[in-house]
Amino acid sequence: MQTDRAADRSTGGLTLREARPFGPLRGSAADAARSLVAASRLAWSIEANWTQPLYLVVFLAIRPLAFLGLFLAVFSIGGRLDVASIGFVVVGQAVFQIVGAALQGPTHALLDDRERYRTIRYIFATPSSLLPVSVGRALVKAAIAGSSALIVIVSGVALGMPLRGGGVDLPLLLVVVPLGLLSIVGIGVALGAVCVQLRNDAWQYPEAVAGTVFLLCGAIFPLEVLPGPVQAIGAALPITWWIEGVRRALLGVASPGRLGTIPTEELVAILAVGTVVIWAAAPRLFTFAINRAREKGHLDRNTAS
Amino acid sequence: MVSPSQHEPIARSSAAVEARGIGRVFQAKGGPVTALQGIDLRIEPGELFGVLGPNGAGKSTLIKILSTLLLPTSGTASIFGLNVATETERVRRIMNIVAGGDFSGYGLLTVREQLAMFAQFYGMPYREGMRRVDGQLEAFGIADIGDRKISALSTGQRQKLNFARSFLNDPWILFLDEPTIGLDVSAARDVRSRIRAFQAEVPGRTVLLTTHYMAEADELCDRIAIVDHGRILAQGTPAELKRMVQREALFIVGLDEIPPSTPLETLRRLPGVVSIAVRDAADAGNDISGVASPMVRLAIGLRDDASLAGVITALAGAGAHLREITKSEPTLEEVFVQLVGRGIAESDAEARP
Repeated sequence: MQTDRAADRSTGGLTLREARPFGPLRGSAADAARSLVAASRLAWSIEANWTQPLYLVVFLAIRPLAFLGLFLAVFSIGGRLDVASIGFVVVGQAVFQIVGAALQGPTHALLDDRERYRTIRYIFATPSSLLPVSVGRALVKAAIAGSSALIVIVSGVALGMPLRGGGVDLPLLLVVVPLGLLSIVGIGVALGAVCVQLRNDAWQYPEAVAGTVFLLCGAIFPLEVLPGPVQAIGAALPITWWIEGVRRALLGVASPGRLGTIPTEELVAILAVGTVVIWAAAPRLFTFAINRAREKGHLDRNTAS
Repeated sequence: MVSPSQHEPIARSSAAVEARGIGRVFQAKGGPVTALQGIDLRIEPGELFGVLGPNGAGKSTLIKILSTLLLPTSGTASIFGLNVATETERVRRIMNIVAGGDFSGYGLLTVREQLAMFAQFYGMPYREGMRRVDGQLEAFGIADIGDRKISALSTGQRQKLNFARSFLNDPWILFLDEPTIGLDVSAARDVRSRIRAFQAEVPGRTVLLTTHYMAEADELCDRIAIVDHGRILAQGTPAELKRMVQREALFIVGLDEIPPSTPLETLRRLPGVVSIAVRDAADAGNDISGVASPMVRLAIGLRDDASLAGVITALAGAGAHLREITKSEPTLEEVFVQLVGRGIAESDAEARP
């Protein structure tokens, strides 16, 4: 580890502070990691510390359970509420808790900092990039939403949802969850890049996108229910493959329809490729959009007041 | 962030700020709005430079461009030789910014937590970051509120926190956009004194301050640029700017009365006297016996300070009792009015929608 003095370069009375290592990381990777950790701590304070723990748990449980109850009621009225349907709906609803948070996380981080906390100019004026800051915030949001997902799954089991014979497929779960989460955060980053160009109505865009994705990704009903071209869009979403992977890991059965016929290895490969493609594009789009916002003067434009 | 090997030493001869032909046009619904046009500026290391102008003059736009938040639509600008449009990462390492009148901050964080977070964003290891955080809390006299939530801070405390954040990375240049706006007298004085201390601590530290408080600019700044409608109308030291509106030395001389043997006409003929007039008649207070003592004040314009001796000698020789002599300086407000054609308060009122 360099000493402070060795890490500095003096220019007259002024001192240029160089990049500091972060564990094994150096240069911009160290800075990105440090910013990611700082942003995650911030997100934890914002998302989890705003109320008493008991109220937080109630808040995290009520919404997803209410939606779960609603969907099960619809299935029941349609006369299709069986054990398989409960499993399908419960897992879809559980995973989508995380999808919604991760998808909206980067946009909310950017807009919160611009409109509500008014700190974006001060963060932007640091050597740190807004990208790890947004990702860190989104990951913590997703992690907190993960507890909602867990509550939904436990409730599903209580309602008679059968888990995979021989236990949950942990290796599969440990592969598909990080991949799926990364892919969604990547899409969220791209969405945030677009939304930072917009005025205060921008809050509503990620919500609209999340709602649309909810319809298309097979969270509540199989893709086959959708019209042909819309099915293709659903199949192109990594979320669809993520939810399917989690269903197979937890329930031990594939979804009905064509998605269910794809071998698990292939499903994981498709999810992995999708994640790589998204992360090849998302940071570039993010950088382009932030530069454009800087050019247009949108970056620290406060439209909420 | 860049690794050490990517750094070449920054030339000591670089100007702290060099702007050439900076322009900025915003596209608005009603058509393009020109915020800045043809700004040329050179600020030397170690200067405290003020940009003085009414609301809407382009001061904040200039600071945003120099602090990498906004790109200019024309012209180039550099900070210590680093281009603000293309070398942003390095510029951000050596500068910081504080805007007055904003209520920025994460209300759920404590003062110490927020500063620690920014120390991380500046790439500091945790322990060093906390050492600096504690140092700044002490320096601003807010160590006692380090564990208080930001939502519970007063306006003055928030601004001190904002300043503490801006000093964390030991900036070479500090951009201050109306830093004392909305602060009470005491908090504003603390902030001004900390700005001066910041500069005095390390030679070469530079401050660019925008304000529309004339007294603040006069008190703090080594040099000042007066801007209006996106243009620099004049720049120089406060004394140089004041000389623009006052070509001769102006003295106010208080007498018990004008000696009948030396009327004003006689004084006007003395060498070096440009003008002389009765400014006002005033009550100079009670004399030693408790009797009210009247006073007449003469406004005497002289070619130079040395000519005053002749005037005083003539008055004393004629038996006049001198009560006071003060040199009258024009104010920056007068400079502003002469350059802009209206007062700053009037300009602010015009700028309001």
